[in-house]
Amino acid sequence: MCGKATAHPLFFVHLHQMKKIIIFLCAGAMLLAGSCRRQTTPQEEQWPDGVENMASAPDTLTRHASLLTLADHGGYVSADIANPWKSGEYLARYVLVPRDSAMPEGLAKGVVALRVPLERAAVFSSVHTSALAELGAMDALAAVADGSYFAADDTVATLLKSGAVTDCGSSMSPSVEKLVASRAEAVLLSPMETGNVVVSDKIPVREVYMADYMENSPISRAEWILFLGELFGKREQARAIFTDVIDRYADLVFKKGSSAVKPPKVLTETETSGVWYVPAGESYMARMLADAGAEYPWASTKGTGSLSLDMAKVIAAASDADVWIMRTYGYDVSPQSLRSANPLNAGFKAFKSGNVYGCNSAERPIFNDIAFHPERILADYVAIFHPDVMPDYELKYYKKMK
Amino acid sequence: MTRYRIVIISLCVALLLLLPCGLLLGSVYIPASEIFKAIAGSVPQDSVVSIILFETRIPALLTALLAGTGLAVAGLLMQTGFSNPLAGPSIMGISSGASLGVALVMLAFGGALGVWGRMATVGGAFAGAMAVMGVLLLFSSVVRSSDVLLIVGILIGYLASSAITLLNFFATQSGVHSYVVWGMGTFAGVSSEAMPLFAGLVVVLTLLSFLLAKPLDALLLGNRYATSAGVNVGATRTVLILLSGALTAVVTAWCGPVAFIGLAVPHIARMLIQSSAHRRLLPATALCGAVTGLFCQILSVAPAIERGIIPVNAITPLVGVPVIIYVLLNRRKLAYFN
Repeated sequence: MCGKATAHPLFFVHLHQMKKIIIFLCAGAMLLAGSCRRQTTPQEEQWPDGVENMASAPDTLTRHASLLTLADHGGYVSADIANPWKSGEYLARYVLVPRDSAMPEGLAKGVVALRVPLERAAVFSSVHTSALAELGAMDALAAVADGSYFAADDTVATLLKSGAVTDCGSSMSPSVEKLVASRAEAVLLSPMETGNVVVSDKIPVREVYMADYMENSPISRAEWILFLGELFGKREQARAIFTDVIDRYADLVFKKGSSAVKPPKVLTETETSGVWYVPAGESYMARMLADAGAEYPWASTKGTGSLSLDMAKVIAAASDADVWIMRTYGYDVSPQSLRSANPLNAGFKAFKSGNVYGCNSAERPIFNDIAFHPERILADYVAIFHPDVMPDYELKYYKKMK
Repeated sequence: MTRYRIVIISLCVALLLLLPCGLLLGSVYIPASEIFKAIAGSVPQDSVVSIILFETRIPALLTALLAGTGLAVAGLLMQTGFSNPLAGPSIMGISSGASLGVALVMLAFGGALGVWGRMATVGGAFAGAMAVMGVLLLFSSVVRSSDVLLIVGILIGYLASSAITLLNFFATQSGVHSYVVWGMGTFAGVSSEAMPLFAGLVVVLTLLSFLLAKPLDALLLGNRYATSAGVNVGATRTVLILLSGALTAVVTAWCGPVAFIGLAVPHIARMLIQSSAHRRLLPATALCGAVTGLFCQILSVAPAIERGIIPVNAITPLVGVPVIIYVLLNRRKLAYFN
């Protein structure tokens, strides 16, 4: 009924137009597909298998980070950031050139040149503004995102209040106008940030991707402070901080080894809307638990993210856990809060024995410190799991449930 | 002067009034005198005012204008093609297809992957929308009823949503967050470099849609009448799906799934010109879409002088929902469709 052509002249006109339209649409789709194809640089094609190979180059400044390679080339420093989601590819490549040096010639396509030390920078994560404060580089802070989330006693909150620092709004949907008006030379942000907002190449604010949170070990992530040191002209301070972190971290691991206490079985986090997210066996958190001398029920699982489990699976694997640690936001964990969340929580051995520890992340800066000071969080873990080796230690982040 | 001319002139005047408002309003306050100077070229090109104006504010206004036009025209094509006043880009599953494409890029493959991540997102959205459109086209070759085809589109949307739910469940927190933000829609997603491609595609697809005015008029009177008038209903429907799907895919790829403009604006245009003749309705809808897009963009940044910006999809329902409710309550009186 509807597919039959008739000899009506109107039909032929329409059919002719429709053919043209279909041809145009196909051409349009091919054009778009072509524009979306990723450009690979010659350097990317030569990228060796596994980014860790790069860490052994003689002029390399980084030794532990698997995603960051800093190399001193005499007149400038190169910073190569590996793509955490695609092995063998770069996420971004930078050359950091001192302001009084000549720009190196023949830079490969896609390499972004930055004049250092940065004099004005937008920093979208409080993790990195904390590091800037520690490095003594806060005078270079021009803008932040999510300004309302900074604690009142944070230096950034004071700078925001005085108008010295601009708040660009949500980090996932920042105001590019405010970013430009802040006169920042670069914006330090996670590769996942800016969402669907485009920072055009014509805007004089270069994006610096901080993929430190994708590292799988505490020391690898902490080493990213060296990148901040190079960006803000604080190499020596950054190196001193990182060396201290390694020393203290190693000391804690050594200390835990001398404990007479058998490694306790440790359960982490709580059920949220029917799902219990626990760190996967190859994750950053699983690594810290192992370093702190814990027996972690999911240590042998694959993956660097988290496992999504239901209550039954958690009960089966960890109902006999000796210690239960969790992070909360805005409240301290209590028997009532756990019972009201799910009455089954009261059945865990750790609950019955009172070995439940909560960290109220609204009050304790665990998320800011865990990046560049994992040794501070590790100290809490070692003290909880092996109290005999740190008898006088006072917990900084976690509190025992009362 | 006819009603149609008055409406078209009024819409043009509204556009001309909204454009300077859009230039003046933004998250950074720029005095009108500075804007005039920048437009006149008496301010250095690398000044903050010039960069904000030419690299963020004007591209966002142009994007809003073009996206509004494209979505409104796509909505009109679908409503007439499926003889259903509630057909639209988001109902047909095409937006869901685009969302699935983006979810795959952002969640399954780890997120916006650095420098090329945004183009990957655009590519994912376009591929997803085109995939759903392909499935719809396949069904349209075997399903004759427009209502059944519409339901198939809705069901495909549910399937896409199911896959998205699964991807979200297993994704990282930051992946889910960036996907949610993408879903809120924005007109700030087209850079000045990408503008020629975006504008070219929207303008050409919209103009091609204008060529369909006569067969669309015939379809309004029913398939049987259209066939007797010499219109190949099957081929017309195929072209309608292709054109409306391509328009939706292009806009969604760069702006995210912008809701309600495609659904509501054709109704606003019909009510304004009091006619369903597509020779007039198509240009009126396109203009009305441009005005609505601009209006939503200005509202999304106007309150932001002190705080951040608010997402486009928080604004569009304020415009769209009252119109849809009015249409549903007065369906018999309005009687656009047979």
